[in-house]
Amino acid sequence: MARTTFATLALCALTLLSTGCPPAKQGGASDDYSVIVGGDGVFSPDYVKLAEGAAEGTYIITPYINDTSSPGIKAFSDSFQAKFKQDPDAWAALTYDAVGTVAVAIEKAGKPDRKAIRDALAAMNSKETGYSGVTGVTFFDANGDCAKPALIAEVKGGALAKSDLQIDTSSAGDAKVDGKKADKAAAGEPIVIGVAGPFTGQLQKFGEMIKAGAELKVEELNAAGGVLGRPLKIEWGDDEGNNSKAANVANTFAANPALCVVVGHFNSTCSLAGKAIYKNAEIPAITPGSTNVQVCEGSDWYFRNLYRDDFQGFICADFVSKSLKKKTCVVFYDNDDYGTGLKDFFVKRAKENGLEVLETIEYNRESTTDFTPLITKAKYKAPEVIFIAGVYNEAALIAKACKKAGLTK
Amino acid sequence: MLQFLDYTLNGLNTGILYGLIAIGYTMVYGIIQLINFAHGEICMLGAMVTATFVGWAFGVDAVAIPAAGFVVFMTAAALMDGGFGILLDTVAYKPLRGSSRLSALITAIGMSLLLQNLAVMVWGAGAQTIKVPEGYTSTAIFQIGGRLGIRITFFHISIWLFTVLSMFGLYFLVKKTRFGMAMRATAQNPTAASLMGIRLNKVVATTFFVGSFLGAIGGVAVAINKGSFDYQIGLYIGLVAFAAAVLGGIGSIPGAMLGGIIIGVVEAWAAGYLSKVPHPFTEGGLSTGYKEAVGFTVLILIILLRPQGLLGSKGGDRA
Repeated sequence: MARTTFATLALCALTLLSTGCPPAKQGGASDDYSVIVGGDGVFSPDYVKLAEGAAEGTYIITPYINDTSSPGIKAFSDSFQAKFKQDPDAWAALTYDAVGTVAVAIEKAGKPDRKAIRDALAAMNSKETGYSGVTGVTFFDANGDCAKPALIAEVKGGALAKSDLQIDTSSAGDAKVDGKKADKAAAGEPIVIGVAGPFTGQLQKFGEMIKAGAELKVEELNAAGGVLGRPLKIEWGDDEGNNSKAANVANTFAANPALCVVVGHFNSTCSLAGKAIYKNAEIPAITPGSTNVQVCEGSDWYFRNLYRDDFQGFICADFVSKSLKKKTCVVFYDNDDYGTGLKDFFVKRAKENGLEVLETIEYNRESTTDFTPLITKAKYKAPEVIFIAGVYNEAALIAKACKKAGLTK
Repeated sequence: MLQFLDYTLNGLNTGILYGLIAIGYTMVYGIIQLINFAHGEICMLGAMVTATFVGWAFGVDAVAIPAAGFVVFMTAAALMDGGFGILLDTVAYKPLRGSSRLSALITAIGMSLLLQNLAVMVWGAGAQTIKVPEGYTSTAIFQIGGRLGIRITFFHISIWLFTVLSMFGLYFLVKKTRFGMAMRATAQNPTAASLMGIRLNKVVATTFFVGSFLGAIGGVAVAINKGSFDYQIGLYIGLVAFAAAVLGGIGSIPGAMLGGIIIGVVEAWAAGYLSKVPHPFTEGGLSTGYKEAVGFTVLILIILLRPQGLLGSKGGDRA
């Protein structure tokens, strides 16, 4: 009897609440939905696939868009499509270029010697001496960092396309693809390079693209006579996006005397784990995906062929405040090196631009199973923009949860 | 105020799911004094099998999934998972019934790893999604406080309905049926129970079945709530459910549900209000990344004050 009374009272209270409660405080007009903006970790076809419709209208910062109106990109995209039955994403393109850069460095060094290759890479320090590939011209500064533009992609009609809103006016030059033909086949002892990435695990879509880009370039190089007349061979290192596994991979690579250079790792947290090992073993490495500023600093042996998080964070904040002209935002960030680094730079630039960061919400890639309270935290602030500094898996979950909560359309 | 209510509801929604999974732990412990560390993986398998069944039945890219069909396949998957539970017991724990508890515990950990890797072999290591009927998790049945207020969807109503019915069902099973009496007798003293003619193996198998069935539904609901999942989801939800079972008093079914609800609500409150707590070393508040840690901190505090858990019974360890 008492239980039924309690239940009825509770039901009445709930009904009263629903009628008498004023609407939640809203930032703008009640029909203003939030816009999702993602850092480059969100740039993956699997973001669209996993978010199942909630991804529509997301803006994503990326170092490369597969814009086939450019002849260089079209050539690359066509050969990629022919071999792998899907379009290349930014990471495939950057890995493709990284392998190309490494091949040119080996040629310049004259021998597959670790120190000589490193010196050759360091000598590629201007537009003229740099490597010209599908992502533009790659050349390194004294740190090993590279200046590449940040493009804005948009999820339109279920696909990643180039957005009409671009903020970065710099250009790395036109995409170029080598048309070299072989006069004689590559022969002799293969030159071994290591490619490290998250080939299995939660981030395996990144790994799949990295593998594809590397395989395509090596195939093309070997068909065009190889490097120094010898075929190129890849040694794969699966770090699963995890820093302790990355250290294992780095140690394995370093211990292999035939392995002269590394393309990898992908996640910032993994490259940072490998940095000290590669420095100690004096083996040069070039990353096609790590953007954390620490990766190249303090080591003569690490290079990268894309921008850093300070540049990316500033571009993201500028895009939100100047291109989208929004005033308030909430930042979701992954608590690894990439997410935290990107979030810090975004917040710093947002403060300078007068963009109000209402809340920074951290999540844990390994253990967060329930995003609902985090979304609840964001939604009561009614932000105009939701910025996600993390990778595509969790970004897709956040996008879905935002749609469920009514934050986005 | 509305925000507080929203957090609490969020916490209750996940809390009852943790509770459902924790019931599996607590029932098995009550009967054979084993912490079944592989239970989280059983729940993960339930979610995987549901995703597969729904994918087979309606096509991998289907959008309009009929509700009835979804329920049928989910129930089928949960029943199959109950079978997996029995299989797990038969293969891994029954042979060790007479040995020390430590052996069974290590086996449980081993089975947990084995099942995870089995899942990778069968389904791969990438993210899986369970296709749900349209609007199941997004269409608000009740909405309090405008577009950005509290939304109660059909998903929430169905998990609450299921949990309430399960709790009543379990109460009825354990307290009012003869078989329930057999389960209670086995929990009290297995030797005496078998002397009274109770078939121990049957009781244990049924316990595993019921625990795994509920755990499978809990796992599916957690996976739907999260959005997508992979083979590692069992690790975390197993850990939380174990903590919940201990918090509520291991061996007590209402305790498991209570423990789950407490941990769920504390996690949600932590997500909402941790940033208001000043960080001891840097400026600004504590980050929401600690929300999982807060749940476990509550567990530690309560166990320190009341070692038998909230609803557990004091008493010596029956060797």
